[in-house]
Amino acid sequence: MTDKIWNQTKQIMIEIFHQPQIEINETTTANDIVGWDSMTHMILVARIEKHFNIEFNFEEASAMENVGQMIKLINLKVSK
Amino acid sequence: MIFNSLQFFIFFIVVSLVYYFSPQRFRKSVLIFASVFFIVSFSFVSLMVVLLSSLLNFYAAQKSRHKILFYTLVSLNIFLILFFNYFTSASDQLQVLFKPIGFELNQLLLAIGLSFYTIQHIAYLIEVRRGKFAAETDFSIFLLASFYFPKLVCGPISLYQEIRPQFRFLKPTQQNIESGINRMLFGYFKKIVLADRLAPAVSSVFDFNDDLAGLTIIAASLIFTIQLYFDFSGYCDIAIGVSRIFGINLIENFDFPLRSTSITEFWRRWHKSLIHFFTHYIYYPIAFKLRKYFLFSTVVAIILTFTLSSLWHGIGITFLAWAFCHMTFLCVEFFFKQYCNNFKIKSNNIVKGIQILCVITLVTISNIFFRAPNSDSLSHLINQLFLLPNYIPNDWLAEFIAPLAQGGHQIQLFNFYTSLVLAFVFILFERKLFAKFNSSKLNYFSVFIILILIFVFGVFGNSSRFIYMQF
Repeated sequence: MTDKIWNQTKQIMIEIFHQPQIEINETTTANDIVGWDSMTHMILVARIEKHFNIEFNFEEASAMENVGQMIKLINLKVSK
Repeated sequence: MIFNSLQFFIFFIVVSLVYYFSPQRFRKSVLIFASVFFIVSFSFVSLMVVLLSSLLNFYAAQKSRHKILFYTLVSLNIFLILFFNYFTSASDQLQVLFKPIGFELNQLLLAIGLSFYTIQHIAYLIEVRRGKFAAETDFSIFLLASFYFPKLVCGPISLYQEIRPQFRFLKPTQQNIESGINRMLFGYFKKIVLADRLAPAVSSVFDFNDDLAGLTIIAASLIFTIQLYFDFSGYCDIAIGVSRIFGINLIENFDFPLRSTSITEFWRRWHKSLIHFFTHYIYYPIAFKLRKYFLFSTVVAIILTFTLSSLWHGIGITFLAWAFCHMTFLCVEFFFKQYCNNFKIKSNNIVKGIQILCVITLVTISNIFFRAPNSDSLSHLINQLFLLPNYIPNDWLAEFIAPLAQGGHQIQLFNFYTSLVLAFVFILFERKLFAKFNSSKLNYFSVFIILILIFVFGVFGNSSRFIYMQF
């Protein structure tokens, strides 16, 4: 399940940040990916919500500090 | 009592000595009394405003679950910023209105640092309501966090959760003191030698409605961009240095913004503490609310955030026009990144250099609006820039050099060129110089050299205010 979420999230990030060679791991933060900034962060959140049919609240959306946290949160929401 | 005055220097020496010779448990009180004295040196009204504002926010935070009270206090804080900004912007007209009844309007205008600590109060109320931390129960700590004198006048805007824990353990080390002195000297050099030497060139173009060639105005605005950077970042260096000497770390406010390769990057490196506030408390909530509309949400959030940012700086067409420039730059950059992602140039030093020049040019254009003293001057400058056919000067010495060099006589020319060379060399080696003067070890040779440079090239006499003190 987590692998599937991981791959799908990676695909969304590739599309949003236009980085086909993107490398992500649990500790990857916005600072590590060109194009992941305050302007694209909420777009990423919205795309993930739409794709997995889930909903984040504001605190969750703004406090995602790294990819690991994001995947964990998606996993939690999807399995509910 | 501004940082570059003799009074501040004496005040700082006295406070530091009292601070070090006081037992640790009294050091908080020393900082509170020093801050009170510092604010009163500007005006008694300033002290009253900060006390009242802190008291209201302190009690409101304790009842932050009360929705109406929370929104009332946040609105009141916003109203305070707008109210004082309105009085500052409209001071000339209002001065005439109030004069017959003998009311001294200048007293009201001097609510020093209000825009800065009010922002801190708003962030504090929001975080307490969100449950990030409990409301403060010790008013003296809350008050000190609000009006701690090194950061009171122009920031860096310190979030409560960042500065509060540091008041628990006020025991500066030898390293704190050495790195503090280093950083203060760095800031004084930027202000007294670089910013203040460039100021006359900017003032002679912007503060007098003379007929000038368009290129002269652009050059003056470029010099203003550099002056503003040295002035404001110099202030922050001094504030950070002073605070380190008391053992308290303030956050960095600048990250070499004149080396940005895009406007987005510029706003990540310029006035970082204010941008952090606007991003987290205004931009993100708007973008989150509208996130279903994807790209549209980003555009609306940028427009609203910059509109509020312009109101924070002052009320008037000049700041709105400045904000409009940056909204446009950011939106264009954003859409370019979204839709022209195939248009990629291999990054090398030449491309980077061109990108940096583009960013500086755009910021320079926007700063024409930012620096224009009022709407009349702005329309005059715009007329000169776009409507009259004299963009390129016919006589370079008379129409370009002379206005910038305040007449262009030999000594003025020498001063002007020296200022430009100093600024250019400094920008070129800025990273290396910063590393040297941010270190925790005092290098006596560097200190000696910088002191010599300050005394030889510095502008002394009427200690000039810092530009961001007006906000």
